Amino acid sequence: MENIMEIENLNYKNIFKNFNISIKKNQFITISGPNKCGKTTLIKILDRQIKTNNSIKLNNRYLEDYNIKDLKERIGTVIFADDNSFLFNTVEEELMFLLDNKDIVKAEKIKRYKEIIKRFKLNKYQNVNPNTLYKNLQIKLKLAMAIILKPDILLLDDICSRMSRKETTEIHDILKYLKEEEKMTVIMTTDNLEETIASDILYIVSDGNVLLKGKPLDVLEKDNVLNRLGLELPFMMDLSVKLRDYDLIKEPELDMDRMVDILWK
Amino acid sequence: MEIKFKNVIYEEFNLNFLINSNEFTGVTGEGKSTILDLIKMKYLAKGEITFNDIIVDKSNLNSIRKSISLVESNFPKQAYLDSVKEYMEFIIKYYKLSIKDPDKKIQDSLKIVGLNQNILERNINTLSKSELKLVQIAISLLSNPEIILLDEPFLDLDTKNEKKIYMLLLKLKEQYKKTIVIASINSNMLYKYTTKMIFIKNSKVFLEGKTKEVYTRVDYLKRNKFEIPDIVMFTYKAKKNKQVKIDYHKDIRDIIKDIYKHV
Repeated sequence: MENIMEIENLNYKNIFKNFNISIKKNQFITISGPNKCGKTTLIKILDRQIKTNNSIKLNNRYLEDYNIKDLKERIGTVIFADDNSFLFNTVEEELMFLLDNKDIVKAEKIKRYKEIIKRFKLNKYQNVNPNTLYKNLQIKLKLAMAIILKPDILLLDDICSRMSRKETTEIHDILKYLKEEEKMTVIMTTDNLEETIASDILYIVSDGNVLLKGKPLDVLEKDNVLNRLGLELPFMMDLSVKLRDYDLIKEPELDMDRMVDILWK
Repeated sequence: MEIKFKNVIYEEFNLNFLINSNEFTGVTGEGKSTILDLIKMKYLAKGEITFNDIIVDKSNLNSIRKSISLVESNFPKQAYLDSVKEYMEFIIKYYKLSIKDPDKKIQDSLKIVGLNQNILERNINTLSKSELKLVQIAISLLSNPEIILLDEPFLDLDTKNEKKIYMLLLKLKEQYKKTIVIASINSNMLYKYTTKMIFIKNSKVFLEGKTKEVYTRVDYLKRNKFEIPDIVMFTYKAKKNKQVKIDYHKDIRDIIKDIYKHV
């Protein structure tokens, strides 16, 4: 698979020093690291909210060589900490506005709108003022808005940080669908390593550089490095590495039922 | 300070619970932040609230309010206040805190939370997440509260900073005899850090009791859609699926010891 996005020798303030990542098409990438490692800054750089020169390529072209409208169509972004309010009085208007701005036939618009509402379970809220929704639902709506025009890349910054496990699972089910069915590339930052397990590649970033990179399970096994950074291992990974230290298991096991079966045959 | 809610009615809420003096109490479930607001007595609710056996009424409301501090999940920024010092001085004025020597009080509060005095001159926007949380706690101490209520105090903090905040809260409880109430949706955190739990469901207290006892009622909590802490869930599965005699623990190392014995 070809690279869709390349970060080449990115230098930015004191946050990134010769930072490199290449992202293949249709991958689900997660990026984690300790507080202040630059996760939000990175997403803003990739979204060109923060401008850099000759550092970021999208489909082999530098971001600065795109016109901004073109770029916005290719990249959908949701940043948790962004507090910009919604423009319209209902969820429906908010979503339909985005579709109306595009040259799509009416029947197709309505079909797309209905699909999104169903997929995101927003049925109940269609006529609600989005500014009155509670934060996690606003995030969900922002995600719907980010993908309604089918961008190539989705950039997500910490969007599940205030969600319950159930809400987080719901979001991850949507992400799985976007990757598998809509063939999107997803780049997501998170503090919660539990959320990285389903990704294709996990990057751990610290002090302006990529410290660890690989399949999530391989990265998460490095408990010493992660603990030193102040990152909390998902419970089952923590249990796995500790049990392995005592020779009680051979391989990490993230499923509780299977772990119980392995330990007590 | 002990807090008791008896048939306290506010909007759809009807609440009965007890928060023991000098303990870590956790609150979870829908409306947890409203519960904190009600304990802080932001709103006037019907029913009986007692603080250390004193019934709250109009005559004592203001003085009791001052002995309760609320640390919100986000730093409540004020656009026109830049430095930490300005912010802390604003709080003292705004809440009409009667403090003889405000400068000294501010310094003492910072000292307790382990912040250097030079943070006073810093712009609030330049503070890290853990510094913001520590400043928030320092601010909460300005009124000499007996009770400190915290909404999601560990949110967005990495494990090092989470531990730092917890150790501070522990110090406030042990050394300064504060009563600590933590509202959170994170069952792992609540199980680890609290000794008493209050579960809210359908605007009522659904379950109340010692953290270790209530959180191990796995079937009951699951049926009612509460999150179960991972460490409890694992132990529960071992007990239920394999009839293994391991105990519920808070620390993963204790589980490992138990597994070692019973495998």
